[in-house]
Amino acid sequence: MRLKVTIAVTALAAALLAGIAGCGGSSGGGGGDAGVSTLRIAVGNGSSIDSFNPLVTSCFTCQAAFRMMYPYLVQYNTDGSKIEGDFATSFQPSSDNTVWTFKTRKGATWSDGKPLTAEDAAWTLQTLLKFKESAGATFATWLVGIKSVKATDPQTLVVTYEKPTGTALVNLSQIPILPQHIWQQYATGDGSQLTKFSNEDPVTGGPFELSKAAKEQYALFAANPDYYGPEPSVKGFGFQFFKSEDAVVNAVSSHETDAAIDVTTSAVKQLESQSELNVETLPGMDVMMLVLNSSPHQEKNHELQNPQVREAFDLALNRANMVKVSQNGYGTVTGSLLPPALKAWSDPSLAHPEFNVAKANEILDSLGFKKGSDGTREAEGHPMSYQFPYPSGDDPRLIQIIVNDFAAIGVKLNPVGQDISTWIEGIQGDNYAKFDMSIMDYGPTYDPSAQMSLPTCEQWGGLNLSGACNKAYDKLFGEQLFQDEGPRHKSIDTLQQMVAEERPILPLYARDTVTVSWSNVKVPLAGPLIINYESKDWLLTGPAGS
Amino acid sequence: MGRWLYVCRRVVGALLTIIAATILDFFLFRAAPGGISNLAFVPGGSPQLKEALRHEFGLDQPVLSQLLHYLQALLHGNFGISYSNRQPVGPQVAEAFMHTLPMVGLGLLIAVLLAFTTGIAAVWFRGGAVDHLSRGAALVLFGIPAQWLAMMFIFAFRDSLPSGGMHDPFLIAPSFLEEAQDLLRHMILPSLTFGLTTYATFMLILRTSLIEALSEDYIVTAQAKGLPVRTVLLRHGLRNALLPVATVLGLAIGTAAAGAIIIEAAFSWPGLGDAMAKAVSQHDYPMLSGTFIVITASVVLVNLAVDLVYGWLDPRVRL
Repeated sequence: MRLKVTIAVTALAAALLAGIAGCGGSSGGGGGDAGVSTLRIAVGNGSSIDSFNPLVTSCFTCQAAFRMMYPYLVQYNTDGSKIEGDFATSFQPSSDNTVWTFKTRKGATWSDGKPLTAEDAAWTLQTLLKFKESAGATFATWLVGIKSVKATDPQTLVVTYEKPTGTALVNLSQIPILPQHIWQQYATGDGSQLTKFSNEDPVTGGPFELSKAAKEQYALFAANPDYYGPEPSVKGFGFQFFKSEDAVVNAVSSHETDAAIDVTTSAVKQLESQSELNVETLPGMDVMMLVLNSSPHQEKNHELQNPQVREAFDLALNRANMVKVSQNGYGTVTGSLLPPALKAWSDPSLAHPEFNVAKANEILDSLGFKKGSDGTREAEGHPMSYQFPYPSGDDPRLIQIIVNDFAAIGVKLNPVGQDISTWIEGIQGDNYAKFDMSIMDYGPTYDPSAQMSLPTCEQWGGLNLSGACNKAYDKLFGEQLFQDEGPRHKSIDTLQQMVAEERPILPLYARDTVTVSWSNVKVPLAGPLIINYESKDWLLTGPAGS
Repeated sequence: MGRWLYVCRRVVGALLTIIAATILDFFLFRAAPGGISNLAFVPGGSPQLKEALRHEFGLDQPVLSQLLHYLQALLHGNFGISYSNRQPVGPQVAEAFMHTLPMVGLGLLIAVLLAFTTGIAAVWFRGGAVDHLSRGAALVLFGIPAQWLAMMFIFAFRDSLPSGGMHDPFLIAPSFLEEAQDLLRHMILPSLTFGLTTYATFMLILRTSLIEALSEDYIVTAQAKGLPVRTVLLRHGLRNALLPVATVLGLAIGTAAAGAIIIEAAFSWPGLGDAMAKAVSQHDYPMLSGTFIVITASVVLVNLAVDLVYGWLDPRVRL
């Protein structure tokens, strides 16, 4: 159909061009009227859904889509304060906390009418465990400690852990349940067929079904009439993906869409002037960080391993200016790996890192690193001049501020924008031997484990970009995965303090997230994790309209 | 016989060029640093995962062996599997190409119409206000960055034309005509941007070569015969001024197959340029190779067509 349209349009284009501009079709949007319409959501920032296979992609919007399409055993409630049941109606640990028993919904079905049972959940977990170092790698973090999984009957799932695991529910809340009868044919050999399955016409069991999608353009979802949970407050919703920030702003302000998520902060004032629009800025989860080479294999510039040098660097960073300029004032300075928005875990004592250029200079002077004629200090016989690769998509104003901050203490940075692969390989190649420093951003889920894993030895070659490897840190990190909530909070606090003291990573700020919606849209779009991919509730709780 | 030999030589040359470019591209992409590290930059990432991915995509094989395998697959019409979404490259490149084609096609049409209209008008009123205005406008639009013009269009037409994309995904059960109309509405701004930023080259070359042609003896003869100015200009002058324009137009059509990366980005147009930009950033070698083969083939084939048209326009070329 589309091909025919394209050919026809190419032929007719010139003839029709003049008269067509004023015409338009009827669009089915308007999340305004309660439960009757499709909520049209513009997504910018280069986000899109590049695959509907959960084993292939872990992008932000993809996870939001998977959350709506697939059953999950458990999920966070809307504000992220606790775990509640989803496909599981109840869950109970054994007395020694090593065996979790889940009772699942009766009578649930997949979208093709086949029964959805605990056996699907068991098969999914078993398969991900089997291929956790290949096809299932994106879920490996959430499988930690699992010894075995089995469905003892169609409504009972038993997950056995090697030892008591405090994060069991948190981890399981991240794993979609896949229909065994569709996927099992691909789980053979080395599992590579699992990632080659396009899943373009997915069999789903969540509150919404994929109704229509075009690669890199849009994805539309319709309410699933056979969903085992509450009826969704809208009949459907859709993401339309834009590559340009300006296009997103225009799309929502001209009511092409009902809402826009992750809108650029530079447009906030313009959008706020439009009275029909609700513009919400919320402290976000994405933390921008300066990463210092902490690898024992670093070949040169060993002064970067000196704690006093790192302290001086930390003091020289004008984080408030970064927020003001790079984020147009919409962000929160932080000295913790965990963003302030993650109130349950972020250590408030690290909220206000000191900015003191004079003190930074004093420290470097005391180390004997004298400034040369060009203003650059010398350390251990060489200029303090460092390579500073960064992902080319990052804000050049931020890069310039960091370069200027370092210049103020006699340290020269040589910034080089690179594509992601070149950047990662340049940092991690040869065991982090050749790089000096860089920046990165990363956002945690409601649980702090992924974010706190950034400086672990286990993440070498993975998410670890600093090359840090402190066995004590790793030990505590490993322990907290199995602790109950109270002791775990203490461990996470200690881990944050360890990062703040050793400074393999210097957290800079958490950027705010901006959501814009027309005033008649009442769906709770806003939340620290916008769209809240950790919970289905945002489209299940109404009312949707005014 | 001479004509067929000319065609055969050109066709063989075109095929060899495509093969050589395909092999060169293969090595070029693999010479770039970075490999597929981005695919292992996930929470469960590890050196083991990197190795597993390298093995899955055959990147742990010697480069020559990879090349051989790649060429064998190409002969069977298999462009490989995309690293980023693990789906066959061929259909994805074809889809992106079919998205680009109408947009740049309309853009080129706009460019050609504008170039011929203003170019001929400039010569007709040579030295006058129309000439100065046409040249001035062409030079200004030639100098304007496409992304800036795109942004201005997005702002200017925010209430009447779509901000981006190729379709309104929220249209309810559109008919064929509604869908075509919707596609056209989405095409107008990107095509217009493409046309306006492209036409100046054609217009300036056309004007120069038309002026040159009008100073030839046969034009003087035609004028002496008492032919009307319009006939002299359009029938005798324009046809002889077309050769350089055909060259530039041929190149433009060929390279236009790559889309206009900046324009596609500004208008979120899911075309070949956009696919190529994404493949570059993700080091998706098979996608990159696929897009480059299409672009190479387009450039070479359009130039082949131009060569053949040259032969028709100017019989001396066949000699």
